Amino acid sequence: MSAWFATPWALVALLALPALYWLHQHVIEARRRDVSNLALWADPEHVKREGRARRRISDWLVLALEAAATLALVLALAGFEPLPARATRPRVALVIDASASMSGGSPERRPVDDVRRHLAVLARQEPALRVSLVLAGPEPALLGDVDLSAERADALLAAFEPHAANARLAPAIDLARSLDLQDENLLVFSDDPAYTHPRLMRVGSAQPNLAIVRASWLEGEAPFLVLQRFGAGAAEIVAQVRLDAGAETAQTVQLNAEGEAPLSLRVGPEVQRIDVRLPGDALTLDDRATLFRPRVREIRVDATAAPPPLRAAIERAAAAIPSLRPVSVSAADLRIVETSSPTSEIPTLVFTQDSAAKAVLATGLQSDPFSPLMAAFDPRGLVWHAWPQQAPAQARVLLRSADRALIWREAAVLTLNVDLERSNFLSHAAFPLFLDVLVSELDRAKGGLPRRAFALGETLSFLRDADAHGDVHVLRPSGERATFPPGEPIDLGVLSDPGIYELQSEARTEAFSVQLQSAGESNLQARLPPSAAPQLSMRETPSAESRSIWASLLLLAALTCACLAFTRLERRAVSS
Amino acid sequence: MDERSVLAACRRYKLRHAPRRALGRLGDEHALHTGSSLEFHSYRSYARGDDPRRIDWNVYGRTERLQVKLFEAEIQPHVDVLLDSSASMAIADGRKPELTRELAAFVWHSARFAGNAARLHVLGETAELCEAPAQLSAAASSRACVLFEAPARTAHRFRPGGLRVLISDFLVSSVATTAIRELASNAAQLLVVMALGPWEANPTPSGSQQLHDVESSDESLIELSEAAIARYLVRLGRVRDEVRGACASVGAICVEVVCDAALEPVLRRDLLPAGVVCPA
Repeated sequence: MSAWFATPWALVALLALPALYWLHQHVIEARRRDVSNLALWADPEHVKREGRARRRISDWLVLALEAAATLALVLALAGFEPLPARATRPRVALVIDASASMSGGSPERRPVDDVRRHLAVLARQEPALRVSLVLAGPEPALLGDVDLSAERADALLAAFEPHAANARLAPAIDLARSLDLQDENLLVFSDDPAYTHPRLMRVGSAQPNLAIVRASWLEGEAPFLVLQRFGAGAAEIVAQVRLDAGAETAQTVQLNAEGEAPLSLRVGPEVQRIDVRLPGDALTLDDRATLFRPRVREIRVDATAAPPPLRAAIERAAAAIPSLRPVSVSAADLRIVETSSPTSEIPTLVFTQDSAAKAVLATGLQSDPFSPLMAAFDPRGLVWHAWPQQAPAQARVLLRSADRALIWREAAVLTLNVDLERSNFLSHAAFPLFLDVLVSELDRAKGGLPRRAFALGETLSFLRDADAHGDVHVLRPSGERATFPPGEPIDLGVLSDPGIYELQSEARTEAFSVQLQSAGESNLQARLPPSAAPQLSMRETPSAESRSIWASLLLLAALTCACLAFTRLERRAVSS
Repeated sequence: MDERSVLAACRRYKLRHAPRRALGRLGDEHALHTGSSLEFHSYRSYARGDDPRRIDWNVYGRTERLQVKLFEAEIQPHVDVLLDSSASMAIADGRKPELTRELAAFVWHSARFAGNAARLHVLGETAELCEAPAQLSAAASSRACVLFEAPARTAHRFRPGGLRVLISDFLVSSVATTAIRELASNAAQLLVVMALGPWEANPTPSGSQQLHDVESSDESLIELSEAAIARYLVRLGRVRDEVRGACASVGAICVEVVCDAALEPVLRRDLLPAGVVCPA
């Protein structure tokens, strides 16, 4: 903070302070008197013109306001700067792609290191530079405070490890603009070859990279990975595989001409965890994968009461839907029956049958666009003959033709009004897809972790297991713990931290993995040549001096108005 | 209000007797009408039903006409003390708030000592009856006085035929004449005390002042010069003349009191010469 009072205007303004005090002490203050009848003192007409009674502001308050205004004027004229260091220095906002690829490259040559080098160049151009760091991940975020010194920003960048599954740069730029910055003071750093922006600084250089772009272990299947090489390299790679806590074993994988190779691991039924590691390269985040043996999740379907063609169709669909288990027990998760009016709470699929009536061809099929169950329903090619039946009044119709309801849901009962003999519904692709969506819905309703391997950036939300009664805790790789009380779904939102998570409840502890599985992020070879060092003509934000001048002018105007008002009062006094 | 000084003043001065046309309960003051005292009043012709013992036989002997001898009635006239409690009466100008209350208390005590049935009324936005002068200190000042707002309705709330003492500054925007006329219309006697603060009665030049009307809340910045004060005094004189004229027209006594001293000096200086009080 600095001030210089030896300026003529500041001295004049300083003299105004005692003048103001004198004015109040001898002209206005202590000169109020209560009288019985004001009409004896003034012309009655003049008093009437006053209108409504007004409550006079305290003279001391007026004096305080005027003194404050004068003091502010004095300080402004003296060049007082309350925040001189920050307000007068140029500011720049760096929007940084926070996706995983930004950490890919040889040590000290990673794109995020390029950002630091560019920042150093800017700091040399403007020694008093203030910096705002905006991260462009799935959601925009600030790295550190809004206003950072170049040294502090560099320290934050040195400790920053980009690992987001993707980068949404537009919202981050919007955030940077909201920081009271001009577009000229904005720089965008990204290695995404597809992204273009007038203020884009390309960082990073093309690098070969070997990555695990897909890793899954589905129930009833072997652990499956897809390896991919981006850029030139050997056609044969060696992956290290560790089963549970055992020793690592090398497994040679032959890549095809496109540099891809599926890797299906054969493991015994006792193996619960598999760790796969590729040789170290430019991006380490996609060189590891951990898979946990999936939990057995199945939907038991009792179709014993269904006609033979329907049972056969269920059997065919079960081959394609892993969690679908045709059973013949009463404790089924889903019952499929023909023409009945079940009232049980067990989800039931009813195919209506009416031998006394004649089914007619249903045309103009329209599905309920707001029902998730019908999201994948494609009626093209369907020949649907429907019985002359109407849906109950309280049922929600999911599929209808021009004149009748074809599929409706009432509580746990899903009814299909279809003549299976004359329709091609069972042989059409719509049936297994419909069944798959229904099974998925039932599976979600049962609760529990749906899988044990997730891709970074996926959204994870599920209902708790039926046997998990108390609080459920989720321990993130960072050590952060989230607690979900009973009755609340387990909603982890976007999975943004790669690593091993733990789901802890009274009943069990389950681990699941989150890993980068994005060919776009792993493809460092597609990077475009980096931009040259930034040469910015940064427009400074309005300085304290210019603001002081405007403030001074405003204060002068306010004081002039006050003087005019006072003069009017004096005139009125004289006239009375 | 110092009630001891009021009682001390009552020992030195008392309210003068009410005129004979007053009404009241039986007492020791002569009334205009006839009664049963020993004081001769007049003769009148005998009428059937008169007590034969009242016939003056000496007169019959001389004139051969039956005349009945009448005697004066003796009463104790009631007194109503009316104190204006509008905001202007509470202005801290000299001893205006205290002295007006002390004057009201003096009249009340003096009447009670003389055996009169005295009542004390506080005239704010409504007319309130006070049990004793001690309650005057607790009476809140109001923005208006009901007597000047609704004179006829207020005047008829008081007992007829008694002595009424009105204490006010009469610095109201409405006309005080009507209030005085209504008060005097059914009273035996009306005594009006116009109480002014010393600054109100005699302001001095003091430069610009923001004058605040305590009753209307109007404000005005006034230069209190000699000329402005002269104009004020002219207007105050008109008010004074208006009150005096109204009192004269209804036979009321009007006294102006400047509240710049204690009760006894004021009684001696202003009320004693006017014949309102006399030595006890």
